[in-house]
Amino acid sequence: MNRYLFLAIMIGIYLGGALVAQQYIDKMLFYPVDQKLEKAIYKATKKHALFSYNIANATTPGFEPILYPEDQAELNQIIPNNKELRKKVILEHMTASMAKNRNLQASYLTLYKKRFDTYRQIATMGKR
Amino acid sequence: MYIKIMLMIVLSTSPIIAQLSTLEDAFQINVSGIISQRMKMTMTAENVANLMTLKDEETGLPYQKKYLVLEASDIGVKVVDIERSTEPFSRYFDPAAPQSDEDGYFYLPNVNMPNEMVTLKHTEAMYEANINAFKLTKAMYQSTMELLK
Repeated sequence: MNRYLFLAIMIGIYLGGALVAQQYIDKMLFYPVDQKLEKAIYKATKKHALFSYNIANATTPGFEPILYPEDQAELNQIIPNNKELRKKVILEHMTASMAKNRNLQASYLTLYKKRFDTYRQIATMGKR
Repeated sequence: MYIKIMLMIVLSTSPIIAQLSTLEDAFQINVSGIISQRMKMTMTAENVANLMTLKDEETGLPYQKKYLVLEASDIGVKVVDIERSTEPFSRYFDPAAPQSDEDGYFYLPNVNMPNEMVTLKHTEAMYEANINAFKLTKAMYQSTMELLK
């Protein structure tokens, strides 16, 4: 009788462990990090194109720079909200934001690559 | 929160932001910027080279300073036209000069050398900025391509 009880407990522990492992793997596989990273990469790409657009049109007469709200907020902290000052493209701000955006994109891509490595590890059962 | 959402809606419906979405667009914009600055540089070089041209073949007048007319377009910047300056020519009195008129005056082009030099330096800086933006786009493209490895 004791032997059967011990066996039942062992099976229970095994199944419980498997269930926990399954939950972890599910979390790793289906947690929406990928979509978030993809969105962030897409936004970084869009922002880069927009910064390029502003730089290309820096000498175009009458052109007013187009900025994302976060960049606009950043600019608000540096220069006063004067329409005359805002009319022109501030090249330093553009290039600095571009460099920052590039670093962000590189980090997103690294994280995305890491996710792929995780998938690969799961798919190959721990073998590389 | 609502303001942020509203801003995002406005931005996403902005025609330019809606159109600019890929790194290829960024490449195209960078190239348009580089080309327009290069053309501006050519125009400045032409103005400096014709600093003492007293008769233009096209107009018969002294050389008139040329401007590049730029316009923002969907794919960056567009060179719309080349216009001539309507600034008056400077007049000099020298009856001995073969180009002088019956009153003894001759006219010089309306090109101002210090102005041209400033434009030249500014154009150089803008050209460099566009080149750097292009390099950054290239680096971003390369790091994206590395995902395939």
